[in-house]
Amino acid sequence: MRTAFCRPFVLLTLFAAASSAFAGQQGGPTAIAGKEKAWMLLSPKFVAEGECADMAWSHDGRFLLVNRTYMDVTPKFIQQSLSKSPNVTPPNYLGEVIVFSLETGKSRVIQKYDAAKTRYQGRWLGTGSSIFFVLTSNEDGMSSGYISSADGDLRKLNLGEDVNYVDFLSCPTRAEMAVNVHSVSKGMMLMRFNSTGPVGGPITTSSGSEPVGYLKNGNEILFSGYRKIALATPSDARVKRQEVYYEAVNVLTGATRISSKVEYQTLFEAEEPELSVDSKPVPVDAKLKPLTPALFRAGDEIALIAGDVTRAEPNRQMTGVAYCAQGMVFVRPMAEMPLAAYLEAKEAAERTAIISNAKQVATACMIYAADNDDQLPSNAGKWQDNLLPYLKNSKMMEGFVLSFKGGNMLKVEDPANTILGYIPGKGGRAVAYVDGHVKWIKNGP
Amino acid sequence: MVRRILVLGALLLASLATAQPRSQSSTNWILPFKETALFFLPAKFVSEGDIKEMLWSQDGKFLLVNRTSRAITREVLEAQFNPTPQPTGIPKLEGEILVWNLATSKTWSIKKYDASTTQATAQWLGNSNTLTFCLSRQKEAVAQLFTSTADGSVRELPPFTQCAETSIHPLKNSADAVLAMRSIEGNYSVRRFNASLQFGPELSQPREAFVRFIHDRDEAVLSPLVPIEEGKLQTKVASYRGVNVLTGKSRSLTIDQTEPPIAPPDADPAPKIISREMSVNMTGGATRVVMMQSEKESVLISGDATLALANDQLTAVAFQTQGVILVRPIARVPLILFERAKEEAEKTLLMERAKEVAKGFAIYAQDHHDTMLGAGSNWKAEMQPYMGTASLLDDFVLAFPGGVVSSLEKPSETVLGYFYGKSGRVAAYVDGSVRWIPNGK
Repeated sequence: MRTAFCRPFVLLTLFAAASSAFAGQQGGPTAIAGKEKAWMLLSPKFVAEGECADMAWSHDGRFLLVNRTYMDVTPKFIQQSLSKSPNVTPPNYLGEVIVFSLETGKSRVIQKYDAAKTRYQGRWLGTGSSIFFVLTSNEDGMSSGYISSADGDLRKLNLGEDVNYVDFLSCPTRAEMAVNVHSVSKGMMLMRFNSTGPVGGPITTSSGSEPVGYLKNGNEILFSGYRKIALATPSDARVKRQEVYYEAVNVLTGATRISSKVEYQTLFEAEEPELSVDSKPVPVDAKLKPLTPALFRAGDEIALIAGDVTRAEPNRQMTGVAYCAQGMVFVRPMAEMPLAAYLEAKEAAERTAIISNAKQVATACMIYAADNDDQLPSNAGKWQDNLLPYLKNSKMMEGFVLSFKGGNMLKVEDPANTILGYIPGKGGRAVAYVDGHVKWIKNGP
Repeated sequence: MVRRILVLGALLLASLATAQPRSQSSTNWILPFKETALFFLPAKFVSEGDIKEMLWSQDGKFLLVNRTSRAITREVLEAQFNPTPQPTGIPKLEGEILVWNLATSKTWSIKKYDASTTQATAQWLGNSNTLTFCLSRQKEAVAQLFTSTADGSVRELPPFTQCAETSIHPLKNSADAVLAMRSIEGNYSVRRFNASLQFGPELSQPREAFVRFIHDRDEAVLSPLVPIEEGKLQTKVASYRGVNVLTGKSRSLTIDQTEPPIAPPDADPAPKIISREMSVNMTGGATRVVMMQSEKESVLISGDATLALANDQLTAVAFQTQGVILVRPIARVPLILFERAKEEAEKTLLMERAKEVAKGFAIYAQDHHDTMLGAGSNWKAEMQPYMGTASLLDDFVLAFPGGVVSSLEKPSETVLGYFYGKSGRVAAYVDGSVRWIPNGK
């Protein structure tokens, strides 16, 4: 019995919030129904400020890797630089590598860097929850590599002293990564890292983490029994990116497929996923540029993720969707539920909302009557305008059918059984009586 | 010096360019007025949750937020549909009163409360960075008043019992406020109190907050607020409308300020903040956008936003988008400086374009026995392959009549063509040099 009570209650609270007319409730939970399941989008969680340059969900969908850059422009700087003050200090241009945990809703700064002088490239280490990233100096072109677990256990990698070119590939089926390193003194080298620990690490130093060796003619690496990487033009020590090619041994659906040559592409499940993200610009006003809302689509159903975004990306597990709005990154966690339960809860919530609205209108009628010599508003004419001052907003009157013809409320013989009006809903209607009480009456006989 | 300014100008424009969300152009980040221009800086994050109240302090340096949030996670929701459900409780509705500092972008949590049993209302006091809030536990009919500085040194007062409902009404330009309470019998009582404290995070020595009641009168009146006739405060503070829940009769009260409102910092009329509903077809409904408007132009602060609120000093505007509060700081500069910077940016841009075009013509001439194309011919189509981007030639006005370049006497003084800007034009010469000619010369 306990759960029978509990179950609709939690959902009711949420749906009531979602359907509430209050402006303050905007951004509350919304839901979308698929064929067999429904998803509920919870309120957004803040991930990072600044300009989001790069974001990627981990393979297990529990973490979001964000690379953000920001310039600390202050009002003072703008005023000074426009007035050509000689004492202007230019703003810092900074970068941060951040991992957001969906479970805790918290972000963790993994590494800070000077974005004016440094370039960042980074990726999840295969299917693991460790990240691999490389910071390259714009001045001398030298790179250093780092591995960090999602919980911030950062370590610098020994890629070599004078590395000036790094390229890497994440394994789609294991917690591994192949890294192609070129150092000035040693030439090209292929390295492999793996991470086998629980959340975030530790990063194991198996034989795979050691340099595989310098690439020579025919040198190849069997990458998790899945694909091999070989060198196409071994005569040149400075192998360019395009000259390394990847060959598929097995092709798995739902993963990254490496085609036979230079290009590689990502293939998701052969079937179209049920939920898809749609973010196309929509014109709103002649003077303004179009806004880009991020929406979930499932068949004909639509749910708004956020109304003004630059990008939106759900994880594969559909447990969260990340988006950039106002230059910031947010994540809306998602919950999955059976379709039947969703529809049931939705109906119950709509019913609650209708009853509540009918109650509000009835109360407004009572107060109106008290202010107007006990005369209830008449259903002829603009009764909505008369009642508006007594209600929080006009939306509460939406759908209300005032059936009472007006007149003195004290002269009604049986106010508890005299219908004031009603709001029709699914499967019934919320009926308000002249004495102010409201009852749900099912349709039918 | 000139170079330094150019570098800074470019930096400024670049900073504005990096900061803007890609969907909106940079012109939407600047709002010119009669005498000043407002620059909207990138947004700062303030708080998540359902926002009950959001108020700027009178000096515009702090934002007071009263919010609630229910810690509903995916796990909690999905547990509801587990075939063998675990008895999970419903997550508590947590409430929090917090203050955000515009200067440091940091948030102070002032007080946490259990929002499922407690109602909170918070206000700034009129003359300082001091806030007051009241927590009322409705079941027990207990209300408790607190005052706090913006940095969270909270002072607690003895609770009021038999109290069903409370509201706080600060009096402007003084440290006085009125606490209105409705008892469970339906009687209203009004207490005026004073909380004169003058400190904020800037001061190193925090002083103790203190509160004293200077007015105490119980009255069973219709409105939750009665006029205060003591001292300087004579008739009116603000306009209130009260509805008696018992009789349904309503009554309005207006109470005026005793001191005149603070004059705006300059002669510009205050910009209007507009929260407008706009239809977005894809959602099948409407979305609200928040805009700020001067007499002629308007700037979009955020799409999909509600509850926009600028501080009186116009140094920041706070708004809510998807249930999250963000603030965009505002830089105010004299309009003349802004116009000058705009001109400089336009000039730099046009000169760069003119150089590119002149270079293209020179390469064409090399390829065609030193002969340059002239006005009148189909030069745009002919020149296209010599231009990096096709649109470079769009507004170029070709003045050169065409001919052999080497036969010209002074190629550095023979005009090839112009780009026109608002404050002048850029002349490109046949030898590839460019020059800026201000209007009127």
